[in-house]
Amino acid sequence: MDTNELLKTAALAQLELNENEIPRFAEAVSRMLDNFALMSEFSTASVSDSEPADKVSSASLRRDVPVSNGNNESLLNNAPERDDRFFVIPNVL
Amino acid sequence: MDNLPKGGECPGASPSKTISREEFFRREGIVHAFLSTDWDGYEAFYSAAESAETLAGIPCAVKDNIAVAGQPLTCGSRMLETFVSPYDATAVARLRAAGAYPLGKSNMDEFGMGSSTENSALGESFNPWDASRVCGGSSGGSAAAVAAGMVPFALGSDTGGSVRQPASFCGVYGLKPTYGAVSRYGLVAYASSLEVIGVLSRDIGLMRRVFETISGIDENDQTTREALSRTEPAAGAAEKPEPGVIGVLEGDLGLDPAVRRVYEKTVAGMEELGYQIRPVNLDLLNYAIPAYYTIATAEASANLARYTGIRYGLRAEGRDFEEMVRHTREAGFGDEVKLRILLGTYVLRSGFQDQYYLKAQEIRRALKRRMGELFGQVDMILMPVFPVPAFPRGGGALTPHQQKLADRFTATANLAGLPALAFPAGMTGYGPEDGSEVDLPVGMQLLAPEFGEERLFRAAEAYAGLWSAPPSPVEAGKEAS
Repeated sequence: MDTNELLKTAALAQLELNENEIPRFAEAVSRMLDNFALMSEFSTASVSDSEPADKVSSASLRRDVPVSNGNNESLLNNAPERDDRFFVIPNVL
Repeated sequence: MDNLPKGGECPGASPSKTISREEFFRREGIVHAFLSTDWDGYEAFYSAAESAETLAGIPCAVKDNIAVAGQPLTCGSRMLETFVSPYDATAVARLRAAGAYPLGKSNMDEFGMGSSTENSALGESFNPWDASRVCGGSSGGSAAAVAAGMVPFALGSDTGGSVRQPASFCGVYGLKPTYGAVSRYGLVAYASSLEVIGVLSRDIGLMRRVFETISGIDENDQTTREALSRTEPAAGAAEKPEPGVIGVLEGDLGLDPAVRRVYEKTVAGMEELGYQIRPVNLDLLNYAIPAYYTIATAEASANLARYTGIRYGLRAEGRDFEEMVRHTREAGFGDEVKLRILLGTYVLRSGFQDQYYLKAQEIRRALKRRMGELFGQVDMILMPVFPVPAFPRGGGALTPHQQKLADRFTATANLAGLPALAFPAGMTGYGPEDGSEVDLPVGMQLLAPEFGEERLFRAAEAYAGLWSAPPSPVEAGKEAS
């Protein structure tokens, strides 16, 4: 994987890579992609059905009604910065 | 209250074998299995415990990616180093209701990504058999705590082998249940379609009770299911099934000589127990690693997108919102996590999906179907857990890349959603001439059809009649100084 491809992928993943990391990750990602390339040898002719591979039949959907778990305060306490019942973030505009 | 320990003690290796708080922390000083403990909470708890409950007064270790109300939930990451869980995972709530207590949070590879627990950003754990070797991963702290006799059982999570591989390295049982048997509510998401909460213990009877306690439908996890059908008599039933047919893989499995010896001994042992051995073909195993890592990293890239420094966890400074998010993720994630996010983002990129992600899903579907065919011919399939025994720490003996390739025997059960049980099967037979002063345990695993956990427990119980692992040197108090 070349540096441009790596940086484009990193930007999509919201990761910032420093100078030292770029060659290291380019090499490690390429090595895994070489392994992934083995999959091209697999013939898909035998796989005809369209059911998702990870489909599971569900028997346990919740009722579609609002519930309160009473965790608001402990959830807000885990925020890096809060103001009363709000999360504080840098300006977005 | 007779079966509950006195003040300052807790059940260690088994519910009836107590250890003192002092002894607990002596062992912890050697293996570093825990990231946090709650002894004061445990002591207050057991004085009020009811002895009639299924797991009365029994403490357990809980992998630090499983939520315990009021305790840290770090996932072995700097990103969540200060996070305190607001609620209990369903599995933990069910354990509490049965009388058990989460005594501490056990160390792990960051977000479950690794095979050695060396990827924890918050400290390293050591193998209770030989502290110069890894305890395996990613549920390494859970396995080390059980093998050191510090708790009778532990919860872990298994995405591609993360319960079974450390169990094998530490000489304990490790169960990866059927996907959907145990609720994932409160398990921090890494690869949602593959991962499941599992159990580690040295006592198969206790493991069965824990599994029965934590499994079942949960409205907070819509992938949970009740057992489809019961093909086995329930545990404790008078009538026991005849030993069945065990499938073994054809061809050279590429095992380390010590692991191969134990594998052959296990096959012979199962035959001695009355099981029929039948070779089976599973060529698809060659595609298990690329398919597994494609799917796992794709799901990881989506699941870990939530760590932005806004609602919880670490926050780094930035000139604007976007830079803050990037700096937070740069500072909060370790190398292995970044690598997997990059890989997962890449395989999902426009133009690459057919080549990677969709191809991996096709392989997964074919593997699932092939396993179904095989379970029409055999009752269980025996496989090694890992091609090598517990390896030396430091990454020199087995690089992170080689560790990934070595997941090929374990990832199959996750891709197919099947139950698998790692059990102590033998010892390496190592001596000084092998560069090790310490003989190491080696585990093997059995796979069964969906909801066939009871079949696995019975086979492991039968094998324990032939051979079971001795206590680890740390539990026996004979560790090398």
